Formats: sequence, C-alpha cells, structure tokens
Amino acid sequence: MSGWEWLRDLLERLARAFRDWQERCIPAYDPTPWNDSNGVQFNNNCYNYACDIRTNTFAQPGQASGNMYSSIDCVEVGDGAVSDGLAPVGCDAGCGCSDCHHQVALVIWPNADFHWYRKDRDGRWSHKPGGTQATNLDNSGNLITDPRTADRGPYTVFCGCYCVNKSAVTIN
Amino acid sequence: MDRKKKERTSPQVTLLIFSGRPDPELMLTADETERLVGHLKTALQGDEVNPPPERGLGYRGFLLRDLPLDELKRQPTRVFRRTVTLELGDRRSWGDAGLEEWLLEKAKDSGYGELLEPS
Repeated sequence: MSGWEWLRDLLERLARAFRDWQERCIPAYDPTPWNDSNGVQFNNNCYNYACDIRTNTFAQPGQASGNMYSSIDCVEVGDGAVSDGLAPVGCDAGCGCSDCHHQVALVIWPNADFHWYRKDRDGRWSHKPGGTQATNLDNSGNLITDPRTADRGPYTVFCGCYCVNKSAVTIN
Repeated sequence: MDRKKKERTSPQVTLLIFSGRPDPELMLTADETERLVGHLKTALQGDEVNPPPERGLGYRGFLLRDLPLDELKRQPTRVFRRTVTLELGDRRSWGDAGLEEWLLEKAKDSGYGELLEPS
C-alpha cells in the first residue's frame, strides 16, 4: 500500500469509527417511538426523553438515586440529575467524544416545573413536553438550534447543560 | 338510583401543562361527569375539523381517558384550542361545543388558575 493509500485508508477508518460512535452514543431525532398517543407517550416525560431512557414512570430527577429535588429550581433539580448520573458541562464546550454520552439542557418555569432538552445527532435539539409528543420545534414553531435562545414559553430560566452516558445513568 | 351514581366510574381528566412534573388531575363529580359527556356528545355530532397545531411548552389542553361513552371508551381524547381530538389512529377532530372553556373554569376552581395565566 502506498503512503497515500495508507493515509486514505486510515482516514476512512477514523470516519467510520466516528460514525459508529455517533450511532451508538448520540440519539437520532426519531420521535415516532415516543409519540404513540398511548402508554409510551403518556408515561414518559421530558427527562425520560432527554436521557433517551423509557421507564414509563414519568421520571423525576434524583428519584432513582434517593435524592429527589425538594424545590423547583436549577440547583435542586440539577443536583437530582447529577445524583442520577448526569454530568454538568459547559453548553458550548459540549460532551466531546471521549466517552459515550450525549448533551442535554435543563430549564425552569419558576416555582412551577422543570424541562429538559436533548441535543440530537443532527446537531439540533429536541424535547418532549410531558405526556405530549416529542418535537424538534420550539413554542414559535421554529427548529431548536440552541435551547438558550429558543422560545421556551413559561420556562424562562436556563440552568445549564449536562452529559448523559446512558450506561452510567439510572432514572425513575 | 343513588347507588348507580356512586358506581359510575369517573373519567380521568388531566390538565396538560407541565413537562417534568406529573400533570394535575381534575376530579369530577357525578354531575360534572354527566355534563362532560353532554358536551362530548354535542361536539361529536358536529362537523369534523382539522386537528389543531401543537403548542409546545405550557398549557396544552386536557386529556380525557376512561370516558363513559361507548365510542370513546378506549380512546384518549384531547380537548385543546376549542377542538376535541381522538388521539389514537386517524386523528379526527370536532369543534368542542364549549368543553374547553368549561374545563378551564373547572381547573381554575381546582386551584390551578395561576398556572393558566398567560406568561
């Protein structure tokens, strides 16, 4: 094999390895399995969807690890998620590819509720508002390229981003 | 007759408003259940309309389940944007005959008025 052929072969293998890693670790935007208008849709919420883990329990941050949030704010809900195995990360830095994980983001409706977004394989974000359908659109009907700037309705507080390694996260 | 009323199963009425926390459930009395069924019967007799567009975060209507109506018995039914939509299979919609407005009043009377204020 010539030097160029060796290099081309190496680049192809690296590209293939990266694609395999992406397919294994970063969820694709495919809302259909979540949107059955029945048990899956009604019993899995934003946290389930963001983590890409169906429990049919309307999972609550910290509940699986005995550290459920005691108030609706960034610290309490975020700590609950960390207790479940999510890892805080800078939103711009992202989760990188040193581990098998994808990026999610937490927002708060002050004193009322929390919500999670998920960054998908195509680089855009999607979410599942409670028991209603998963979508990649915000409240203005626009594709979500950044949850910090998306129309989030009453979820006016942006808390931050986290990494989800599904094999290291337990939610319930 | 009283016993028949007590044995009637109350439908599940969910206020679709949260994303993370479980949505509130509204408890209906027997009379309110009859009123709900009346609204639905009137609605289903009307012309079909297009299903409403989804909204996203915040108030998203009401989800009705376990309805004491043969045609809706196993059919989750959504009331939103003044329409009634059958959620399973072909999503068919009708005008709601005032049902959403009545359910919103019920939700406010049940203590959820603040959540329903426009943000």
